[in-house]
Amino acid sequence: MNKTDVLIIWIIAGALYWTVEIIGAGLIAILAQLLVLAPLTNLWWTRLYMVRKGMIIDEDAKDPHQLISEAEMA
Amino acid sequence: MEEIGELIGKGFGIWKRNLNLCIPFLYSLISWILIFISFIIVIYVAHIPLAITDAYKYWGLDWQELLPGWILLLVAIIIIWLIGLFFNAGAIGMARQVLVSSRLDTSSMWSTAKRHLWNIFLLNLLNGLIIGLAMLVGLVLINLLPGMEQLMESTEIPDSPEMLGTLLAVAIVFVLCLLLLAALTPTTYALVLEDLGPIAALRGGIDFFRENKTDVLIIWIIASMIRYSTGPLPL
Repeated sequence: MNKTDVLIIWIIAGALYWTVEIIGAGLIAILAQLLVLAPLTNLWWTRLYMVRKGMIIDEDAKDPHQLISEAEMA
Repeated sequence: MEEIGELIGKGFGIWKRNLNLCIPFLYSLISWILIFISFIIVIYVAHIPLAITDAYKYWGLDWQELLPGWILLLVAIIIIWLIGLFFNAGAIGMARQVLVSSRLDTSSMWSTAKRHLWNIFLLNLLNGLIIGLAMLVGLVLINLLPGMEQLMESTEIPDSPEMLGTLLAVAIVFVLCLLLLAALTPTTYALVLEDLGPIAALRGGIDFFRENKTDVLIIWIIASMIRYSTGPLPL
């Protein structure tokens, strides 16, 4: 029957679950920092500098999606 | 003029459509891990004693035998520092590309990073010196205050005017150091975005802060809160 298979999958799933549970919190923080927060803050700083220094004009700087929704509203 | 809330919202929208803006940070982390692993391997293979604690005393080693380990550690730290700065410049280059042309590839990262590495290194050194010096001066001044000795010795809640005055002075010095940190943050962006040398970038960044105090402070506070809420990853 499938006793061994079920048991093996159950053990692997349990091990995975606990590994993720234990190191997960730290890993998620690192991934969030790396993939979301660091690039986002970097983009904010760059945009702030460029907009205030007139390197990109407001129309240029507009988010294209916003332009579309504004056009739809008009 | 774009309002700060608008800027934050639009920045978020742009980031959402250009998720590969995280590539330089990813490369940075991967290189740090590789450096760390090779450091461990070299230490292990070459049997270099590494004295981080004073355990070496028990092995009967003197400082000359420990020197290679220290030098290797120093080299590893400098390489990791340079890699962080390299990809920091690269990330700014990519952000500029996506803001100017709304398309994105990694070539802008490599070209910006290579072009500015040396200057950004000098600027980072300069910023570190300025902050270190400011903190040193602050500490010396605080210690000269008459209430400091009382404050250090007293175990009770400070109540005399000298002690309260000193506490206030400590708080002021702390806030001034934070303000200095915020004022120096735009210097890196000035260096890369305006293609300046380290001294000109320092001046340009501080001028930028003086002209846009509230905006710089708001972004700096948000960025710091985000950074410290997710732990000590030094990105």
